[in-house]
Amino acid sequence: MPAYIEISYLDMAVASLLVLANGLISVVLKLKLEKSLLVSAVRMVVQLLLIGTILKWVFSVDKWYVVMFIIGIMTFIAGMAAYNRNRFQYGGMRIDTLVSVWVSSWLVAILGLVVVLQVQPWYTPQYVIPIMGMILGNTLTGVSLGLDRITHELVQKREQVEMLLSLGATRWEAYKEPAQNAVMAGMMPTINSMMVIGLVSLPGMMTGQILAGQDPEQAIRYQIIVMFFLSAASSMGCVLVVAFVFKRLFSKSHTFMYWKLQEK
Amino acid sequence: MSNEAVLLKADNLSRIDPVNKSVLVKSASCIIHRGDRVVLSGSSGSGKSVFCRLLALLDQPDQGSIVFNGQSVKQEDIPYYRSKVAYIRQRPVLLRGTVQENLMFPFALHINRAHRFNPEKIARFLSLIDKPDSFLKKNAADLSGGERQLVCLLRVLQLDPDILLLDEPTSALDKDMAMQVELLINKWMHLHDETRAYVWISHDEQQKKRVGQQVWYMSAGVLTTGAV
Repeated sequence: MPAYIEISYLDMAVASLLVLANGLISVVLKLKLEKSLLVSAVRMVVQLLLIGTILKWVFSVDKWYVVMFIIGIMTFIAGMAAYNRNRFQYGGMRIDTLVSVWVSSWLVAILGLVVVLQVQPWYTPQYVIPIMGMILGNTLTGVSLGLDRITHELVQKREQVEMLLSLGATRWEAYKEPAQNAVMAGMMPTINSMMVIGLVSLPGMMTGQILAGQDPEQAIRYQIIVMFFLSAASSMGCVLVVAFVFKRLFSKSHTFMYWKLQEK
Repeated sequence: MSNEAVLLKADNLSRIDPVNKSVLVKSASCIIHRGDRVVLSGSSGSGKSVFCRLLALLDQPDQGSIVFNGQSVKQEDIPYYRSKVAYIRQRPVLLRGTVQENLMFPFALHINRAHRFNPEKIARFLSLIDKPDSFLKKNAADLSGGERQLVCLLRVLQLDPDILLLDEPTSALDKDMAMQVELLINKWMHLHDETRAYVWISHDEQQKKRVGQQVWYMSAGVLTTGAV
């Protein structure tokens, strides 16, 4: 197996010079992006170093409650991010997004880690944290896309929804088409990425394992099961949030409570 | 008039704006009999639309009750109720597809599962308004505003409602089209021997005279029917 090359601080400093090229482009083309570039580069470094330190600590402590605490925070941040990526809101949207992200990602993670990978002990941070991170990232996308689409559909198609209701449609019949569109919107990115994976880009996890000296075949097997986790979690999250929106905006007496939906 | 002729009885319907809590409709009561041709009059923003939406139960009344055909309307019966007390909005909404597809889709709804699309019935309606059968093949997107409204009406009328709640159905149409809509509704009333009824919101004085046999007034959320 080829030797694994360790990266020193000096190596990082040299690589950071490359960002100067971006700065140069920004100055020449008068894009005024120098400040954002600097801030984002510094944030990237600080955030990753911080995470590195935390992960190192979590790995060394190796306690289930510490792992749970960390993935709890990760879940919360993902839920909030899914909420923030929206232009419309209704009372209870924050909790709906959070629960959608939480339930779907944790359910898939439990299935994946315990049933498929059979990680021993179940909380082994080396597996739990990176896999949870990938699942959460995708669930966040699925939930936020689904939520964004359903709220837009409902605002745009308010008259159509009401037309259906006034013809005697049940609340679900009136909601069906917007819901289908939203779930489709939430699932498309995962389907598209599975379609071209390996052809257009090599996924990060697989690349990482190969760089670390892992057998490419094993790395690919990992990637395959992870892709299944990701697609399951993101579509489940999307379906959940679309169901929550239904509960919030359609009353039992089959009325569409459109006024609850407001621009942020 | 005998009790049997009463189609709908609304008692003390109130609606408060869910956002700013102002009163939109205050304790409105009314009775609709078979054969009633009611014009609902009042200035813009007086609550006419809100009241019609309440009658259709498209918005939940904050107070009051509705008795339809002698029975109070239960939650699970609301879709059925709405198919019988049909609300027609000012801006017609059609789905993608042809006129015929738009007329057929209500039969895909659970409430109409026992009914089938009836081409003869539609043909009869079309002949009433002098439209050729080829009208059914037209793409909904190519229709004029008036034609769209006619399709919306046909879509409702074929389902055989008891009451039409017409929320300014012709206010965006030119006079000829408006007359066609009036004609269609008038023929529909005749067709059913005046056993159906409508409440028609209109701002056009001439139209009010043509379509109304009684006038209700709405002013600042208060309904006056003269009868109750």
